[in-house]
Amino acid sequence: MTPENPEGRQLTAAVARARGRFVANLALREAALGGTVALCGPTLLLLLGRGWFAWPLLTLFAAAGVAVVGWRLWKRRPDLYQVAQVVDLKLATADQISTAIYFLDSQEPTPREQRRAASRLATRSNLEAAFPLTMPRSACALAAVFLLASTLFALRYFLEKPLRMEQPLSRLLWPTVDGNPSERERGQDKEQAARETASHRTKSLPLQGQEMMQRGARQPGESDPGRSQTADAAENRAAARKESQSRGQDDPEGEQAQAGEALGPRGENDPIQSYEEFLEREAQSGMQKAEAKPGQDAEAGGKAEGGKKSQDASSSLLAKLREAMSQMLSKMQQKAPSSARGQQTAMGAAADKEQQEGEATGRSGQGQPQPGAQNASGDGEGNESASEDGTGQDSSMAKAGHGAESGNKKASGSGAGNQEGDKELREAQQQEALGKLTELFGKRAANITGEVTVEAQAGKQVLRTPESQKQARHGEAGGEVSRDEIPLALQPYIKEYFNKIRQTEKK
Amino acid sequence: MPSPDSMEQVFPQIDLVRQEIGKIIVGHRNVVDGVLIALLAGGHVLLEGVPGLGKTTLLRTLSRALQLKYSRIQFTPDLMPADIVGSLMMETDERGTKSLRFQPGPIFAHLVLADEINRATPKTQSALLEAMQERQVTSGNTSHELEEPFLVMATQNPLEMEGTYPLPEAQLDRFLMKILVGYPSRAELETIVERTMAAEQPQIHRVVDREQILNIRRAARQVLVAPHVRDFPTQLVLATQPERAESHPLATRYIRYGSSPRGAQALVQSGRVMALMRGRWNTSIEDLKALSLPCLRHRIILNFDAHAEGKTADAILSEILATLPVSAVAK
Repeated sequence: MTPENPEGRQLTAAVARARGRFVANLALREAALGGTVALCGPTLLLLLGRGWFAWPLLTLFAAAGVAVVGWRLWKRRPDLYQVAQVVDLKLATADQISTAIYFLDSQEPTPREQRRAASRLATRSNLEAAFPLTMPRSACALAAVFLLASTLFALRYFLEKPLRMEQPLSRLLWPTVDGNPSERERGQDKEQAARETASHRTKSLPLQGQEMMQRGARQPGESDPGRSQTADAAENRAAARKESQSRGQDDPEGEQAQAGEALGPRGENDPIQSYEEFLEREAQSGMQKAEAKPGQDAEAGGKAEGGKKSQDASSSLLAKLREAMSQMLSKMQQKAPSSARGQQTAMGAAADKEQQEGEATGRSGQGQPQPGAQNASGDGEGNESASEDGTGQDSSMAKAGHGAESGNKKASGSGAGNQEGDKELREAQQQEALGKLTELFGKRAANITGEVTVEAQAGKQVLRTPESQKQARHGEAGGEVSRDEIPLALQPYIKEYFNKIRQTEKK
Repeated sequence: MPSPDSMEQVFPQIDLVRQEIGKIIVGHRNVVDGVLIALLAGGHVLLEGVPGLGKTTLLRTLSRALQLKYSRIQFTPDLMPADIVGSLMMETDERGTKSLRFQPGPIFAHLVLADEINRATPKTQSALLEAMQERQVTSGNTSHELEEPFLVMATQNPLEMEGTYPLPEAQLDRFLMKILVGYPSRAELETIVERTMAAEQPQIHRVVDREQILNIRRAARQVLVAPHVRDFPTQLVLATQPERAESHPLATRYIRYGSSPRGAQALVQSGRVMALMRGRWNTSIEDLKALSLPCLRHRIILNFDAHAEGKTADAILSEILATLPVSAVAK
């Protein structure tokens, strides 16, 4: 923009010089900002090392710095009019220069006069003085980042004398600051020893297995992590069978007693290693008990087994059994005394049947147990407890109680003896009663006859219509009262009142 | 359009008027400048101050220095509009034919002093409305033009509010400026006493006639206003309007009704004259800042909270002015 008039050219040149200084200041400020951004790259590199911060990212930061400078400078670059406004503000020239710059091309007398006056003003005062070269605030940020980078560089150089920049600074700092070298070495020694022990054990395991096979006994404390407990138990069982077979050939009479001696105490004292072993022990113990007490009923068997299991499960089973028996006895008492003998006979038959079932269960325990057979043989509670314990110990209780449960079910044919059944029975009875009541009401309602009188209030009938939306204000009805409208007569009193309040507050 | 040469003569003429008024009026520079600005900008001025501060004397002195027709109307509760505007008189000519003739009232003058304007009834006060805004008076079916320059200088007393009729907002808005006349300083008071004791009253010379006044008015309309200066009154007026997004927090809190657009117009018109009086061909933001209080203080209506907290329009406007951004680059 080069005006034709001489005073305009002079003014433009003066303002352009001021603009150059302004832009220089602006560039300095933006350069400091861009430098800060660019310096963040090396700082991060010094902090994180090459492992986390690749070298090419440095160029990215540098490019970002340049971009920031360029973009902000381009965005903020002022034109002559804007610079003239700042000049007017700083030199307190009452907007003469900016107005003259704005009306630079106007040929009317007043703008010409204004340009002349502004040109005189620009000549008199040094416009560049309005923009002295100053250190921008962003230089403080640059200095701070530079200081940080220098510190990091010095620290890193101190820690790793040939500057490799591979590891993060934190890894270099921690061993030196936190870790004691002797402790570190000790820790490394421990790790090494642990590794050697593990490898040695892995090598010696086959030898141990051979020894165990030869001894025919299993050592419960030692276990091979590479092999499962089931496999161990199978091997042990096989070894035990071999041993027992060899002994049975020699002494067939004392086989069972020996087995009872050998397995009975072992089943109580030794920990059970697998489910198969548990089943085997259970079957053997069942057989022993069936042989020892043939006339014992399922309740007694359950009690005997329950003594070995947890007290909660046995108590609940016993409670159920007791309840079932008492209910059954009460029903029997209600019936005629002539049928008491027949019922006792039936009870004896039921007890015999339960006993037979208990034997059958014991026999099934002797067979090859399948992993999925657990769900089929045990009832719901037994399954839950077995699955919770994981050892399968409680499943024996469930099995033992199975006979008692089945007997219980037979005894409580009417649903009594089970709390849930009782509840259902009650609900059924209630619903039946309700149905009878409903039927009764329906019949009575069908037969009712009479007159009905409806009393209606006399008055004007009003048709109710849906509420309509209507914009209305209180002011339309003259109901708007503004608190700002103080009556003229009251204004002096109100002023006096507030003056008194203010005076009181000041005091 | 006045030539630059004739515009160069404007500044000394205004200075001469100031000097002549200064012979009678001691101090009150802002009041004298305000009245001159209102006269040269084509507006009207409302002076508020206690009695005895020289309000009437100022206008009388001004009329003598400017060689303009001057009239004074003392407003009382029983003053009627016809007493101001004029009335139709029955007139009989030589033949005996009777006709109605309009007898102009005291408003037909260049400088009208409406003394204690708030003592007249609203009906009489509103008689001034048409004259002040339209520069004409209607009597019967005939409208009568008022001669330029026409300046209504009204005064009102802030005391003795009993039995007064405060000016409605519509009428207040028609005044270009509301100037508060305060007490003179000690030095000024001593000068006043000294002059009173003088044997002769100073003589007032006619330094500027009506044509020169109109020439100065035309010159004032040529004063340049740059866009960034023009932006200032817009921002200021918007800042006083509480319902606006651009409103100042103080306006939202204390102002019930903000300034009308006429406030921005008054600022620009007055700013141009002030620039001329300061010897410049351009209006500056400083000019507008200096005129913000007299031009806007009667255009904003404070709410109850402001009254309760003892806030005045001047205090609120001053705070708004202090925080208003001046220039985009200067920010």
